[in-house]
Amino acid sequence: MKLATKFGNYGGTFVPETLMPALEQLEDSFLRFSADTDCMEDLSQRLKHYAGRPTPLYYAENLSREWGAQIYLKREDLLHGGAHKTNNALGQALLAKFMGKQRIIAETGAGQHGVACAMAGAMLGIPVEVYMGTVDVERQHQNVQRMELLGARVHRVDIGGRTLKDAINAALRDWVSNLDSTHYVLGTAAGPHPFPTIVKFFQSIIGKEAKDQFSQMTGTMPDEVVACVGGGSNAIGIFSAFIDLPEVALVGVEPAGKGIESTEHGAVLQLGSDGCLHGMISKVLQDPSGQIKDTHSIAAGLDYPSVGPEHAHLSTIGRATYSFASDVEAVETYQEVSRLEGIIPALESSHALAYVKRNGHGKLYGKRVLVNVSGRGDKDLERILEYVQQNR
Amino acid sequence: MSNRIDKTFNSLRQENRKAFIPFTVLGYPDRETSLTAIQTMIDNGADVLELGLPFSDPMADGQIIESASKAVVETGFTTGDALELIASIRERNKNIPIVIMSYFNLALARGIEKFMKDLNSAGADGITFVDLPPEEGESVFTIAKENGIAPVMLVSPLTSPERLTRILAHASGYLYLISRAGTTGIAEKFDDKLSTLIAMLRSQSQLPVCIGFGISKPEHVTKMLDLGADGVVVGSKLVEILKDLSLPDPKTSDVTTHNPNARNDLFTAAVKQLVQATAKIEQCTSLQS
Ligand SMILES: Cc1ncc(COP(=O)(O)O)c(C=O)c1O
Repeated sequence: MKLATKFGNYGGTFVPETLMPALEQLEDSFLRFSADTDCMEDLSQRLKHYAGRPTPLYYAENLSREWGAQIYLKREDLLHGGAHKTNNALGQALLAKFMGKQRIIAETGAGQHGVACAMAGAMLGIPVEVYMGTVDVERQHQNVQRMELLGARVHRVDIGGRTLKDAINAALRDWVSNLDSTHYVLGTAAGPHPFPTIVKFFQSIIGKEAKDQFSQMTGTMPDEVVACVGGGSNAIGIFSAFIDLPEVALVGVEPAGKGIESTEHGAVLQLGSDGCLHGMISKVLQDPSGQIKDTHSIAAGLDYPSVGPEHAHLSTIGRATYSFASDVEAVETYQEVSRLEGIIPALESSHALAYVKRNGHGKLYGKRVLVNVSGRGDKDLERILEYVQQNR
Repeated sequence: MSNRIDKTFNSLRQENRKAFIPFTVLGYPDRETSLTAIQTMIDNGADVLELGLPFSDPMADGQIIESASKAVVETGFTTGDALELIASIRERNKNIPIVIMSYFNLALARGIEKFMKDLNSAGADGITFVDLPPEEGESVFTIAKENGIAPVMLVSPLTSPERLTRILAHASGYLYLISRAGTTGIAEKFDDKLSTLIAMLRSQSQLPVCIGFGISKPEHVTKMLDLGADGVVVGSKLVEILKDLSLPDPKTSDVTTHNPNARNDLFTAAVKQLVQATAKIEQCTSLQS
């Protein structure tokens, strides 16, 4: 490999021998692709005219008044497809084309990455197949319908916890069997090198825009940048522009599910330990023998027992801190933001917002807080109504 | 020559025989049946054992071994349980080499050194980590060797000569050549460059070359040995037969139709057939020489 494969002690290429040459080829192609001005111009044009970048930065006046902090929302929910996933899917689909691949596969949890890949595949004329756990197929079935409408084939993965982790296993198995024809578009900043680096590269546009917009709007920098963390792509995307500014606090918000004292959560950086899953060393929720635990979150996109290696590193060195929000907090926040601001945030993004709500009258009071609204919440509406019904 | 793997391959070579290497998942479908199945393999002519330490997320395995591994993990089976099984196999069988197949996280969780020491005390001889390429494994392989455990390294049809050099720097015991770019399973597709690959391995290493992944029929065994392999690994096919050997779940199956003896016979017959296929090659080559 030419690039560093690790972030401190985390990351690496812990994959079967058969995948190693493919990762080497991918790194090599990515380096050429990202250094090619025509390719970068093509990506940037498509992000602008097809996907709708730049996304706005919005000062949420009502939330700020209600919650106590000065809240600025980076509106990735307004990106084509409805989530930040499009930045990466479009980038990697173009990279796949650059590499001469004829087929794209992807895993998806919430379905947003699957939808983003299906859109990119449709536009670029590349067939797309998406792996999705059956639990997620059920709770995000509107996104399954969207993927199918867009021409993608959705494989239902019915083993293990039947969520994101199992979908990644299935996608890796497909990839290792079809390396010649296929590029695996991993949807988050996790997995073996070079994926965390590639995904960060494509998602860092969120941070670049937000930093400029924030500075133009306020003449200053935010005190704190907040994002939800599943695998960690939207968080690393917005953090990336601020990592070198020590005065800006970075906070990732993980899913506490039914509570971090319960066994049903996905608070990997809070409660995980060093482990090896999906080709990387990172924090992992595991039992003493090293078997990976099943996780729970009401947000399918956060329901994952590990996290991107750069977050494990940022957490270890103390550059970023990681908090959590429960299912209940996320649902309340989803409803409150919808009513107060006229914005329906994805359940994933609602975790980031819930952390701000919880701390707005405490440590964040009066602070300038930049929150990444990673996606829009239409996909979650049915699930929310059901949840409210059940927990009334 | 102290270790069992080298001893076994030396005497196979002297006798002009090839190695039959069955694989199963430790603890599958349950501890008792697993032990019986492994003993059946040994009694019917296994030369080396490959035993899988089940992991919850076996990304290099196809559906059969994946399901088996998950099923065992879900019973609460631990690495400690696996070590006990290995020890009881070793107690009854002093000479057969035992190579453990595992995913790296299980060693990481136990502590690399303790993992290797415990394997050694239980009586294992070698380790293959499915997800630990030489780039990441250097110190791990060193610790393994220091503790009497041979790193049995995987080579893929896609492995370049440069990568092979890196792999050979650690390899010991034998080389495990993967028959095709893909997962374990019984799909009948083999890489068509296998004989070139074997030649490449031969030119760079003295280690025996054994081929695995997808080998599920006597014809496959014959084919691989014809290509020049020193042994074959058969896994998914055997694990598939084992699937029905456990006691039936009264909730889901009709107890009256369940006949463990018949399945047991089927398993034994499959092992015998594969062993015979391995032995046939021995006769051909000995006739030639
Ligand atoms: C809207 C939204 N936000 C966040 C995530 C979590 O992923 P990541 O941590 O990679 O940003 C997802 C994943 O599906 C998502 O759909």
